[in-house]
Amino acid sequence: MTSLLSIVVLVLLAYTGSRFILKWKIQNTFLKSIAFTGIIYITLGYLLSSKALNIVTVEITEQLKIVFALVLGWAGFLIGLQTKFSGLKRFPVKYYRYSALGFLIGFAVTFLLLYGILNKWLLYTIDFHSLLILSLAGAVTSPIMVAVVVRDHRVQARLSHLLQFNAAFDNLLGVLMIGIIVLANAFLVQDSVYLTVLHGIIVLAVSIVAAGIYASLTKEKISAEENFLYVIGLLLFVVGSALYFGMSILLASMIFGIVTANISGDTRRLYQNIQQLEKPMYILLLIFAGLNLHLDVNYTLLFLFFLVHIFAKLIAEYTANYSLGREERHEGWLGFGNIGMGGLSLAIILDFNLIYGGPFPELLLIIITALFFQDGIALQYLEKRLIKEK
Amino acid sequence: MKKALIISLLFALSFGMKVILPEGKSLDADAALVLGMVLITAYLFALLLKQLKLPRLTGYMLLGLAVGPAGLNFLSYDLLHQLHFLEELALSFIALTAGGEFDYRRIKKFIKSVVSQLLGQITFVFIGLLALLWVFAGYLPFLKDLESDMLFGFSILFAATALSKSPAATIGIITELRARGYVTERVLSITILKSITLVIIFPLIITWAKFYLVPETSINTELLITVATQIFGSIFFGAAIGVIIILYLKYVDMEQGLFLLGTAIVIVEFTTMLNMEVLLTSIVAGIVVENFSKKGQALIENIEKSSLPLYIIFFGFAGAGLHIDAILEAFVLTLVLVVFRMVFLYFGNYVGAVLAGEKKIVKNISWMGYIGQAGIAVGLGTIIEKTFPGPIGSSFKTILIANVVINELIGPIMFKYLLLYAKESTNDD
Repeated sequence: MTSLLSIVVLVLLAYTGSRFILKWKIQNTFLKSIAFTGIIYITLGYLLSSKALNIVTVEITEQLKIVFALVLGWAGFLIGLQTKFSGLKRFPVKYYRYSALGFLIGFAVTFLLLYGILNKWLLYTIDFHSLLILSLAGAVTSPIMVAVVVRDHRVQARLSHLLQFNAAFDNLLGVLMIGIIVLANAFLVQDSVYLTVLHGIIVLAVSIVAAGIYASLTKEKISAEENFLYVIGLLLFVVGSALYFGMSILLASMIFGIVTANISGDTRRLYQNIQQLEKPMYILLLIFAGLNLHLDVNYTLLFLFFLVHIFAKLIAEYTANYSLGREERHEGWLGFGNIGMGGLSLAIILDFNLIYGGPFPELLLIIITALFFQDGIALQYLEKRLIKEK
Repeated sequence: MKKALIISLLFALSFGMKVILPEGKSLDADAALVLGMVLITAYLFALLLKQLKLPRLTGYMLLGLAVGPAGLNFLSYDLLHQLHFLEELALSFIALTAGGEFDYRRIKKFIKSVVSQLLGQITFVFIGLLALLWVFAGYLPFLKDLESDMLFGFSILFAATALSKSPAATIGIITELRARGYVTERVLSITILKSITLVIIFPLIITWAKFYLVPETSINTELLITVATQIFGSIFFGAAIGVIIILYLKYVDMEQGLFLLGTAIVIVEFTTMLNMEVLLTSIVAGIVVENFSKKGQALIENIEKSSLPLYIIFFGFAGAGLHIDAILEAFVLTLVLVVFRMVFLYFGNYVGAVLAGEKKIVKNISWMGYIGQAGIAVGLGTIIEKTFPGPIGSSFKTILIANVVINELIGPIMFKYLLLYAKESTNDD
């Protein structure tokens, strides 16, 4: 199959899949977790890959990288576009503290425990950057899981509000962090602070300039197709510059989105238009993850990550909850509700891999397995907890 | 001013990146960067030219030329090759739109007149240019050094591609002037029918030219069967795709843009795999949808709206692929082709109109509505380039594009003059 036909097959699967899921009212929590963790698409991607049916060959997967880079850019742009500074003021400061603490503690505890246990006791070597990326992917929360529970049970309680904020904000922190890790890796590869900083500044400048261009072009009345052309053209330019200098695609496109949201006039229509493509884009990302998956993984590492990650998330949530103060503090182990990781964890790994490669398939399988089980647990717990709150 | 500043800024950024890091860290980086830059700058440049009353397509092509290998080389030959599939995709979209303009119910009211003028134009332009190039080749740079067989092969291709006329440009002017009336109906119908006829007979013409251009080619039964299979296979496949689109419109009718993109990719890939013609397949699919579905017209309008990035890529890449040296060498030939195409169009149209008993205005000046060339002509050039890889194909395409640029510049102006003269414009502006 050629790369073009492969795109058609993938888009078709993505599209029909998204339609199917939107129409399908699933009641069973386990089936719901299968549907919303995207495990079906990952499996489908694996079946199509060179490791199984070889319909999408290794060469085609390589050729399709530009498409997947654009998908990552799209994801980053959407996260950024939701970050309007004027809107951020309506959340209390303690929400930010809760979210930031939860994220940082989750990230640090996962990393330190994995590093310590692997190096001191198991004598298993995994490079520093891979461990950082793995811990970072584990630190982000799945916004979909919270959204699904809130939608299905019409939960409007204060807790669901906090959880939704937390999922959105730690995604933003996750993208910031991957940008920093990629920058650090660029320094190690180039061995020059000057060049690394220069490249980073250029990509940052391109993202900001792109947003400025978009704002300037959309000041005049433009048609929907012109709007789409400007977004896709500028996003390609930003994604291209990030790839060109070996910087994070997610971060560059998120900055493009943030600046656009804050300097352009009315971005609601733009957000609504591009959000229509969010679901097929996300499914493409899952399929891409499946295409790159290898099953030959160190299962000790997988099992260890599973345990360490749950432990880290529980500690993180407990500490973050404590910081909310006596009146706002909630009861029980809500950390279980936060262990779901969502699509951004996959995007973080793909982002790093698109630029630097590394033991990527191994990390991917670990994250996918954790995604499946932990998102399921999170969903189960949240359903019970939020309904009780209601 | 703002548009010019943005173009300069994007150029400066791209240039600066290349200076700081000549080779990108990823193979795909260049493609994404340049593609994004071309999409924005080409469109803005076209808007600038529009203020000077010049067509947008010229803007896309000129910007492509500026960033292509003959200019700043942002869009190198390697990148053009890597992104070639986007050109094919755009070609399929252009042909789908062209086919979608063919409404049989509209044309059948004056079919006799349409056929008569169409035959007049085809006969005069094709035979006239073929004879002219054959007889005066010795005086024309670029052609004078060719051997006689080669010369005749080139003459066939030049004469055949001169028949093409842009349905998109015609519709663009009619929409701009909100023109309605006797002359408007005829020019539009003949333009569309001519495009369809040309696309159908083009595989035959290519085979005929191949006989002279490629020494080992001989015309035999096997070759004729291959060509017939190619033509009828494309028609059949195009009709099948048309039916699938109709069924989709009837039973699903959601996310048309995404569905059409998938359809265009399927057309491109299967026609390549099965040695069929992408233009013919797409045009037939467009005709079937337009004439057998109530939602056909809405679909075609949707294609036009959602395919803007692909149009820019198609014409931008066509501009980037131009060989300046070949244009300069064949400058006189280009002028001869442009001028005599007009002369033969006038006579062909006049004779056809007289035989159909047409009005005076149709006989004398409606030829002005058939000058503009665009997507279909460049598409035919792409087919020729693919059929004759190497210097023959690329030289031919370059000269053809030079012709298209000139005809595309003067065509809309002349057509506008015709419609205003015929008092068929309802636009008060």
